[in-house]
Amino acid sequence: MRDEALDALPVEGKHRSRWVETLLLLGRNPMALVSGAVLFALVVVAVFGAAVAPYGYNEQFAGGQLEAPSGQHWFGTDEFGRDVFSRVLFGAEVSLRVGLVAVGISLVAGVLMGLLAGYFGRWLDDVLMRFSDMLFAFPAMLMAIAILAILGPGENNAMIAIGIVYTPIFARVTRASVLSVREEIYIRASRASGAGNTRVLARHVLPNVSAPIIVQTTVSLAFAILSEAALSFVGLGTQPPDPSWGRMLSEGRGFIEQAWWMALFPGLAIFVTVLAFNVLGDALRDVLDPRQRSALSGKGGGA
Amino acid sequence: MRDEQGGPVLSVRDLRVAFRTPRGLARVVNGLSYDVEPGRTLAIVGESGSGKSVGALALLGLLPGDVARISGSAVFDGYELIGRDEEEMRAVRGAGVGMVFQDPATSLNPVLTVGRQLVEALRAHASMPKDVARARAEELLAEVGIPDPRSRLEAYPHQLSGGMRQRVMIAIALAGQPRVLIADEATTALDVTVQAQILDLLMRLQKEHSTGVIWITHDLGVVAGIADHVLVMYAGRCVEEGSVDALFERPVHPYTRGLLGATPVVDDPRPARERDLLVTMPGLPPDPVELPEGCAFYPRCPVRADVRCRTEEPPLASVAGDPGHRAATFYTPEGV
Amino acid sequence: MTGYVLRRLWQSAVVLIGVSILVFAIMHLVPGDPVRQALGTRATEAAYQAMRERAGLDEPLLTQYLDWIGSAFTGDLGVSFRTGRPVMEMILERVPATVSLAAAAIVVALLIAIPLGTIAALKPRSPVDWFATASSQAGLSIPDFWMGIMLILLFAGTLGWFPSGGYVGLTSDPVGWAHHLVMPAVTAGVASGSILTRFVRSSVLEALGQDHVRTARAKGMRRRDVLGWHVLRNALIPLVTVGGVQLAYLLSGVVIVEIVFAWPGLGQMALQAVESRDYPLLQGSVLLFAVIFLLVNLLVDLLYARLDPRISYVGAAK
Repeated sequence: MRDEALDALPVEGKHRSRWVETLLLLGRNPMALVSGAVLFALVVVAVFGAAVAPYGYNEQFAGGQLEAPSGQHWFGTDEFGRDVFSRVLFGAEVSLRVGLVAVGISLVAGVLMGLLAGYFGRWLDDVLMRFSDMLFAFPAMLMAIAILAILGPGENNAMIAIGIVYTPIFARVTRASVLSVREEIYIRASRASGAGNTRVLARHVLPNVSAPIIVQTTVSLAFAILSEAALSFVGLGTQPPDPSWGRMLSEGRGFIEQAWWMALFPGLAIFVTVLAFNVLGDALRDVLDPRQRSALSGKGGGA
Repeated sequence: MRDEQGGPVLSVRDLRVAFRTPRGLARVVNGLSYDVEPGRTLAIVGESGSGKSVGALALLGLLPGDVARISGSAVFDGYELIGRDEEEMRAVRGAGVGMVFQDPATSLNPVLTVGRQLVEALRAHASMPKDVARARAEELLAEVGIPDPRSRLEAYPHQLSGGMRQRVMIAIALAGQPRVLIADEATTALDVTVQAQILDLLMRLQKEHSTGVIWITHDLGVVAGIADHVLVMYAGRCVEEGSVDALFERPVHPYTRGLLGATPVVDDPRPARERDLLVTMPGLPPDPVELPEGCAFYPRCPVRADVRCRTEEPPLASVAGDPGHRAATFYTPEGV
Repeated sequence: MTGYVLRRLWQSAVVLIGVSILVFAIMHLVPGDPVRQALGTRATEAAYQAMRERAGLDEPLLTQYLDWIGSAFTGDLGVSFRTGRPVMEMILERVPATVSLAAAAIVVALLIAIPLGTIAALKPRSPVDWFATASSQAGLSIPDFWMGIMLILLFAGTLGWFPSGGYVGLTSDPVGWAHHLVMPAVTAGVASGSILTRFVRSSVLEALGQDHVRTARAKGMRRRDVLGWHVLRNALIPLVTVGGVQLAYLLSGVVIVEIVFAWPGLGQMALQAVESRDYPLLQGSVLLFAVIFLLVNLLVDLLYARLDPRISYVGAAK
């Protein structure tokens, strides 16, 4: 039947390198291309925000408060007469920075935990994985809030909190992939040939588990940006007058009757950014790691 | 095939199946023809990937409709099966043609009881009250040799042994009293003693109901014991067919000879029927997306010589002096 | 079966102990003196001493922990720094609002996910499938607080169909309860609905490819019977697990939605506790959330074991 027909098809030889292959396959997916373009634009805005934005993020127009969108102020102005469009552009930098640093923390900590647990197994595996279970026992948003209750509100602390919250998922993803490659012949062979553990981990294990980690990183960036916005929305993340999208939204909420644009545009910016990361993550997953699809979709949400 | 009992119940002519794949069209069955007669067994033998299962699933419309292209003809009891829609096929499935699959562990629904799955099969074609269907299900389990059938109705598949599960599968296949039974590698997943029991059971049931059986397998050892007629498939084509005696004692095609361990392919001291087919044949069947021109067996053929083999597809032709025995090869073994 | 239940109970107990230590640590990880932080500089020395003593902060750490966890077992979670009322009492007041919201949200999520995911799986690569994939991506990416605000703008402001926020008790005014619940439930349910849509789709797709579905078709069963009894039934059993995890998230994770809709639930209270540095209240609510989360997960696993007859005998798997 179907399997038999597929079995009969010979496996195509690996001609190109895996990463070139990945990029080529991604290039065939129009949704991935669009997301890539959106994210590229976002990075440009984040890096060159000051040059792109028509006004400064804190520049106030006297007598120009709560103005509706117009040719002069595309996204209108807020209650202090600041240009919402410029603030949204500057907000990109905050969002990306917090997202990248937070995911960087989860990535380093989680991958390390997962590598150690998966590769050495035994008691270390037990300890690390039970610890990760405990972190998993808290819903993401709640745990971030609890951590910020300890550390105090602020942008840097928000990064740390989000970083801690998304560490266990990296640990699990890494551990699962390590377990699946650990016993493969080439690793046993390099162990037998006397290579040290560090060397085996770095040279053989890590490259072979990188696909799911890359996918997880992309998806986590989406969740991290969403979390930062949510924390700033409730006043625990980025503090005024910095132009964080979540913060702008919560300010806009107070003027929703008079000035819908104050809430609409920052929210739209969050939505588009998070969507771009999610779509790209999905496309990467299809290309790199089709089997992980269902395993991960159940966890990690609920921000 | 010999026509002794009033004609075949199933007649397949020039059956072709191709799948659309990302790499191109995979031509898996390429012009297969055979007849199945009541009370007799046709064995279809081939390696995995030879198209033997696909050909059978195509008859019942069980291939994924969006990627499979089927052509040719298959007339069951005067009724053309190819090109029917789902609802028309449904009337034939189970009631006209029953099917037993290879792996009873996955072919039964793990979360429904055996009784429920049997009753379903019974009520698919006949409107009968639940209690009647239940009584009939119990009879069927008894008929396929399951002890204590009443309590087994409540069992889940995983609570039964592999052999018992396959008996349940057979009971399900027989529920609609089909005139043709397709057994697709039905004993492959079972161990040898159980295999023998299942074979005995099927042969007994075949006699009682005068069912026509298509026995699909890669195991020639099984074929010798049960089949009347044997058809050997390679790359979606019939390469040789004939009576069991003709095929086992006077094989012509180098592929069949290879399967049987006849010279000149391998020297293995063991008798042919003990060997695993896949071990004795070096090489792989051709890629169905890029079938070679000429004889599909050419790349693996130990006796290829003729330039003709590479450019011309050998037709299925009668073997001289051996009625009903046909082979598709340009090679003529010595002493035949 | 019993072995599985016992193992699962044991695992949960271990995790729970760890969780309680983490929650206990909250108050002790706060830089400086939590009581001083909570009271601010205006409090008198006597009030400060009294509160310190009540919180037991002068005992050795282990004694403090054992006292705290011991009382927690008897339902005593300490006294709020802010209001001076028992934390448990404050929590119980908030439970109906949060449970209403979470239950309504999971209903919304399932109403989206089951039909959409199933249709998408039955017609892969069709426009419906494309729509399901795109909308679940969007639903997963949309910030819930933004969506809530936009819903308020449209349905409370412009159209005036629903109230913009607030909670009405089910027993006092069932219609008002439902009326107030619609927008928060939709807002909270969309993300879960998106996750579940993907899950249902892949689960149904997987079920469709099973050998036993082919057997069912080979029996000559009607298409809708094959779908109902062999595809959906098998595909939806694992939905219990993922749906349960989502319910657990919703029960303990609807903080933001509660804020947006001025919903007097547990999440809103926890956030207020953070803002007012009411550490006993924060500890109590976080502990409760974690317990709910663990408990729901445990129940889901046990339920799953009952629904899938294989689990009880294999004893491991999940």
